[in-house]
Amino acid sequence: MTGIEIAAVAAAGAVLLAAGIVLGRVTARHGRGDLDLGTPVEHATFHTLHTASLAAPPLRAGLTEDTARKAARRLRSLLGTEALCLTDRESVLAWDGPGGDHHREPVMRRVREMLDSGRSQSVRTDCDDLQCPLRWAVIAPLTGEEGVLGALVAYGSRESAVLVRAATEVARWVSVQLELAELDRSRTRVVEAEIRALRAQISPHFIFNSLAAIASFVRTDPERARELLLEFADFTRYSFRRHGDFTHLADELRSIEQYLALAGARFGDRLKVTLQVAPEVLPVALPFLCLQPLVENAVKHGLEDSTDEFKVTISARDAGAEATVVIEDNGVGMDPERLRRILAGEHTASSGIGLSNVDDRLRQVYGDDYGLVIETGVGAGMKITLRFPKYRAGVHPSSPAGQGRRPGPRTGP
Amino acid sequence: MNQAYAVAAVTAVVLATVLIGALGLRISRTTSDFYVASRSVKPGLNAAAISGEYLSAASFLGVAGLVLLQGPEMLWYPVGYTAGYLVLLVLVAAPLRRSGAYTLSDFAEARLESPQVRRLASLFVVGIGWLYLLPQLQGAGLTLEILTGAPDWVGGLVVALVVTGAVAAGGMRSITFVQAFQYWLKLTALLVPALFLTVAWLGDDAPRARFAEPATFREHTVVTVDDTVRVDLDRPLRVTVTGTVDDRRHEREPVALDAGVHRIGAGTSLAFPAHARVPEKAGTDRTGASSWSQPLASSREEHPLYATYGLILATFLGTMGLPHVAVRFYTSPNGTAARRTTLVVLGLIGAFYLLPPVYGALGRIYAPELSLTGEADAAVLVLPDRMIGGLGGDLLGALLAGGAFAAFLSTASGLTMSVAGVLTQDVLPSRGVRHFRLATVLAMAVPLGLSIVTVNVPVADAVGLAFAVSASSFCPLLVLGIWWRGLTPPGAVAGLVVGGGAALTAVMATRAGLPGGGWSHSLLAWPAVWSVPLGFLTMVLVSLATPHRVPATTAATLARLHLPEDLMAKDGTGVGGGAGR
Amino acid sequence: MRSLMRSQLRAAMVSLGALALLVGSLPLLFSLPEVFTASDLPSPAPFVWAALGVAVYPVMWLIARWYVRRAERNERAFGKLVEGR
Repeated sequence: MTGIEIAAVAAAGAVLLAAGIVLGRVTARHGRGDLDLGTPVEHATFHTLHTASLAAPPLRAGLTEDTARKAARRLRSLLGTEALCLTDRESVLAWDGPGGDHHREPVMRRVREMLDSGRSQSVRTDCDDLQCPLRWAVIAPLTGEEGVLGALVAYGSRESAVLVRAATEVARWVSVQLELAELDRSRTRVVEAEIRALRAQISPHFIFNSLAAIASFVRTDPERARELLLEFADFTRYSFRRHGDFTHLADELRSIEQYLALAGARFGDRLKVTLQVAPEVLPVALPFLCLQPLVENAVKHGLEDSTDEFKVTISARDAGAEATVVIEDNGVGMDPERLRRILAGEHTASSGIGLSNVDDRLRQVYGDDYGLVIETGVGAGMKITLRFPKYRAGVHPSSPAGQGRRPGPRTGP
Repeated sequence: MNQAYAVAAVTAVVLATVLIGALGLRISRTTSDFYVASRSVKPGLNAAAISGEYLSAASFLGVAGLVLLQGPEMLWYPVGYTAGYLVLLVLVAAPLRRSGAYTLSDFAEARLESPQVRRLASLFVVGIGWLYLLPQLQGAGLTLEILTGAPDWVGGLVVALVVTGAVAAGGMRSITFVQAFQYWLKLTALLVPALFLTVAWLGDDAPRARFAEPATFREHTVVTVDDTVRVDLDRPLRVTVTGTVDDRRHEREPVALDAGVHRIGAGTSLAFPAHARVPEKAGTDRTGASSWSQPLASSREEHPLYATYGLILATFLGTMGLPHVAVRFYTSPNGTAARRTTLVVLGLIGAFYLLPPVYGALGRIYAPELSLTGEADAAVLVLPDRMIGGLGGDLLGALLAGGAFAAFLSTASGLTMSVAGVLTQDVLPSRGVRHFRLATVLAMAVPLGLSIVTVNVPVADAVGLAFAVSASSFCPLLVLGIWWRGLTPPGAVAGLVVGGGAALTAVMATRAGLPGGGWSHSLLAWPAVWSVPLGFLTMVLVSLATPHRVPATTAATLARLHLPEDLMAKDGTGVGGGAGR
Repeated sequence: MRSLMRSQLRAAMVSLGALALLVGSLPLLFSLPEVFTASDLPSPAPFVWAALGVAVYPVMWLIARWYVRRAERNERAFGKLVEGR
């Protein structure tokens, strides 16, 4: 358990104890205790703890009308007040007890005053209805990560310091629950984001197919299976790096090489790959995972959509102050219209995410001049040309993506 | 010499260059070859490429020519060219690689984050590149003239066309392999004939080369002077003249020339008897049509120590600022590899430079008239024919011609690519392959035009001038940028303008032949002694005067330049913040 | 980090110093006729040839090799220092 949670539980425990003692005093006036079965104070404490434990679960889901409604009832019995309501910053979420009809409005005014100061207030209700038992209100703030989320308002028939104290403590305890709720939510968000990123980086299909292919070699050619497993491990380690880094062209080519070894294990002779590299461009820094998804795309569509032999050519050339990478295949190609739509961001199918993602990232880092150049046609294969400047301010193989920036305005004729 | 062999050799070299450039990619057709294809360039290969590109016409021809003319003092040129790499290794190699910069203007931008400095650096890159390209084209012109008798602008045009075509058409797709091939070709081309020539020399009872006294003709020699030249005889001389001497026409008649200055008209042939002394040229002829003036030689004679130190400073400190040197470091995968590569480069070029002095000394003995005709740079080419003759001489001469052309092509292509790259990025408005082609044409056209128009200067001297400008402009920028936190953009601009500008002005004045003699001439011919300190001083003072302009990311940038890459990867930005311990 | 820069700069300065001393002083040496009249060499020429034509190259290469070794050692030591923290 993290420190926050331990502290929260400790604080909750302390609050409960305080509330329990208050309740015990209140109820003990009216009864005599049985030492074996517990004094009235002890009874009161048990009752408090029990009630509190029932009030907790709804609030762990956050402060909404639904959860507030469920919790308000329990909280009112916890405090033993005439009425209790829970509000957020704008309106009353739940009201438990009598007097809700004519007190909802004025209470929000009071809550707003309290919101400014952030401290508990105890005020007279000034209620015109002589039948209404609600004469005094304690308004205690409910705070979360980002400040005051709302208020807990406890009503009594008379002014009572005990009520003020108890209401404040219970409000604090509710606040702890709400903070825990926020913590839960943000952790979930982070995990979800990571999962989404991972799924974008490696397709589950690919993992499944690779492992199946490796498994098929285990008995017949264990040495090859072992090599493929090591390639797979390297490949996934590279792919799990943070999405926004920069890397060397040499590393990216290595990742492509590993991918092709794994894909080749599955498709065997149907996949023919040619690599042409001018060694001068190997140190060029480029955004991480710019090339490998394109190759993966090409292989996936080329091999899974047809049964002919599939040829991919990857070439890296030196062009003065730039490096040019061309990925060419003889697969089924793509309709140029569809391609245009994919690059404009209107993709629908799962295919094509790689293309627009890489295109976006390149434009974001290097400027609009450096997007993907794709020549394709139905049945005519596809040729993708990428250009990378050899040097760009802010682009280093160890720097995160945020530092790459577009070139400033260039003066010129 | 037999023209056919020579032309064939030259053509073979050109074809090989183009072919390797076009095809010399690492091609792998099976996935198991990928491992080989995508590995980084080994230091040895990159070093051979760097050496190949660096050894220009000055190294191949010029040094021997100067040694022939003026003796072993001229060996400071190759020593300087080599020592420049040592200085580069020690001060610049690893940090420059780690900056990720491809050209020197990239480095200026990376270190100072100022577009103005970048643009100014680009201008200097282009200027120095042109200053360095010019002698290459002139040397090519001379070579082709010796080989085929073509007018001297043809050679330059051939080189210009080949290089522009290859570079612009995207043919230079694999510079590394091409340049590495060029290095080994040049080394072989110089080594093999040297061995034969040494054997011939030994077989000739090993006559000594004398530099303290004027050279003598070993045998009866006919010398044809292409342009008017004035000679100073210190004793009477009997020659057979066909042509014009002292404005009097002779037709194959023996003429007795007294001691003193005589004027020999263009196209005149003089037949010298054996053991006659080679007449020395009478000063520098500026009034006549002499196209080969030797301004630097005269000042060297007047103030030899100053001139030598000027040369030392220019070459020692100028190598790091040459455009085609910096870009080759990009190919190394990291700073450590860059250092090791430079070490191998030192070994390779040192080995190469053992050879030109041999040719220079032999040239003094066997081809002394070259000092008269002003074509001393051709010493290397004519020696095989002179000393060995026959088929052997022809073949060796062809080999040397091929090597010489390899020298022109490799350096010219490297320079053109660098200059064109800088023009594309910083001078021409937008980018793209089309503009790179235009930039290539522009990069070559200017020096080509100048080579036809300007006065010819011995190649090694002309290259030395480019070194002087580089030493005065980029050496302060690199050294201070890499080692001093206090450098500011205004300081860099001031240093470049003052140091580089001063050197450039002096160089231009010298090539225009402006100052007459004495100290003013020497100071302008060898500006490095004063322009380099001037550049440094200006940069330091102006930077100190503008402390508020120190770039905010200086600490992080310097960390990136100096820290080994694996430490950077682990620490990330934490190290930049932890700097200053 | 400054300590690494300092040690690298020191190595660089030592190398340059060696270069200046061993090679850069040669012009002065050559211009001193006394050196040569003292010995029985008729002219300084052979010494100049030997020095400039051959000897300086191995000397420079050795200086360079010393520097590369030193620089790499500096970097390794710094790396251990940083990681030992």
